[in-house]
Amino acid sequence: MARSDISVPKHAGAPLSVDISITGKCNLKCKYCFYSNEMAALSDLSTEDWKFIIRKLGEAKVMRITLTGGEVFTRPDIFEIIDSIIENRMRYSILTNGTLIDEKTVSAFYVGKRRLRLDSIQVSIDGSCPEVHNLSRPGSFDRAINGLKLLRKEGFPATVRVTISRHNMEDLENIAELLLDDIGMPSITNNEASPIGAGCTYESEVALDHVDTLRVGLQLEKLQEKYPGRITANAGPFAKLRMYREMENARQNGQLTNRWKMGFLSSCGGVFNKLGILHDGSIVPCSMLHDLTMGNMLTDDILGLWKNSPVIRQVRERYVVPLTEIRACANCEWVQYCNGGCPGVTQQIQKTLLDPNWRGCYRNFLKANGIRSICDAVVRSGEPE
Amino acid sequence: MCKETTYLRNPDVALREEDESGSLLFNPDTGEVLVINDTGRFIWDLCAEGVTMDDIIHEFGEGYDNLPDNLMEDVDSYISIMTKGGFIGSK
Repeated sequence: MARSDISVPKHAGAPLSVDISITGKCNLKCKYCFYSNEMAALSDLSTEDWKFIIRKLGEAKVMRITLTGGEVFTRPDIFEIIDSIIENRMRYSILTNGTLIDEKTVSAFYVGKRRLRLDSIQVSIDGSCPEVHNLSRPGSFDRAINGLKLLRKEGFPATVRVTISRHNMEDLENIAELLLDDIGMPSITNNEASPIGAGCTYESEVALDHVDTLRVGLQLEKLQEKYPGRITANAGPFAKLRMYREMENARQNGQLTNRWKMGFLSSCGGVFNKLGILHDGSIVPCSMLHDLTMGNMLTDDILGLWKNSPVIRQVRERYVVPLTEIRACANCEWVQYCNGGCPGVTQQIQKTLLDPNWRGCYRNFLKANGIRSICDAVVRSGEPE
Repeated sequence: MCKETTYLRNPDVALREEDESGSLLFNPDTGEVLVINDTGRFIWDLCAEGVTMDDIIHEFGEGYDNLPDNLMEDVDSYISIMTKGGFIGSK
């Protein structure tokens, strides 16, 4: 199929949701944090600036905000900012390292509609014990677990993200036991450490290669059998194996997935529904694309940028770029089935949007593992397909 | 539904106007979304100030030349869905 045969999907009239990095400050120094290094140089905005921005988002009829950082709870004014979200008729979620959540924090959520409007609060847990968790997230295991348990005890909509790296890839079964059996989380989600930000500095220590990806992905699939429906992922080894299986299925049985447009740089649906705002007010298509600034919330018209910014249009228009137009992909046997992977990773590592993400390349994955398909790997590991 | 019942917007509900797919109402207290067509939008606009069922039917008569046969059912259904979802209140 050629570029002219398909069109760029329609985007929502206004962003449905916005990810806000509310601060660049953090009480931890995680080894794979993409929001570090050059990002730390940007200045945090004042409370009044954030109230102004949130009012603009409410006027644009944004429905949901995700507050992230840095660490959200390092801001002493965080509940004032949350109240502003509520006043402007939106719901919100929080991504946190969990270490600053104590009884006082929890009780603050019971004021007004703060608890009612909270969609979810996600705590990052990367190990089943301090020895593993603290390799990636130094000195934080006990406090993070205490924060998570406190949220669970109070019945908050707590979720957990496990970022898989070389530090914890041997600990996944224990992590699942701790979180799903002992703490009783309904489910956990996982992704993987990318060589972006601090992850770039510690790449050899944290980033998975293709061989790791296969081993970890198969292990997660086994855990999924033990905990049906309780392990989820939109990125990382588990998600990659699911995508590779869909590619194999399409090639062998002609069953095309509806999760992306096969053969095009179509992996990212985010830019059709959501935006990112950095802690200095910069508007970006996604926090993973933090070097592609569209404007600033303090000075610019968000809806105008949402509709017409050449930056976001460029990301959306990737959707109609056939992988056959990319020289390195043109002769790949998987070119008709691939989606090119996350543009955020591509932009940060390869400094271009118009390349596939080589870290997710199926051809390279098969070659590195010396197999012709995932089925080969499953047979080799002695598991029935 | 009582004839004297007055319907009024929940002030926390936000109306989003999409380009082609009509409009949607978002109740941030519940997270519930309701996609509305022109009929729903007309009712929503009327509910800015308290209106009864009779007021709504009357306003439709004033606003449109050709009213559909099933208007009453449509309005009933919208009022019921909007009330259940907390998009409008009644008294």
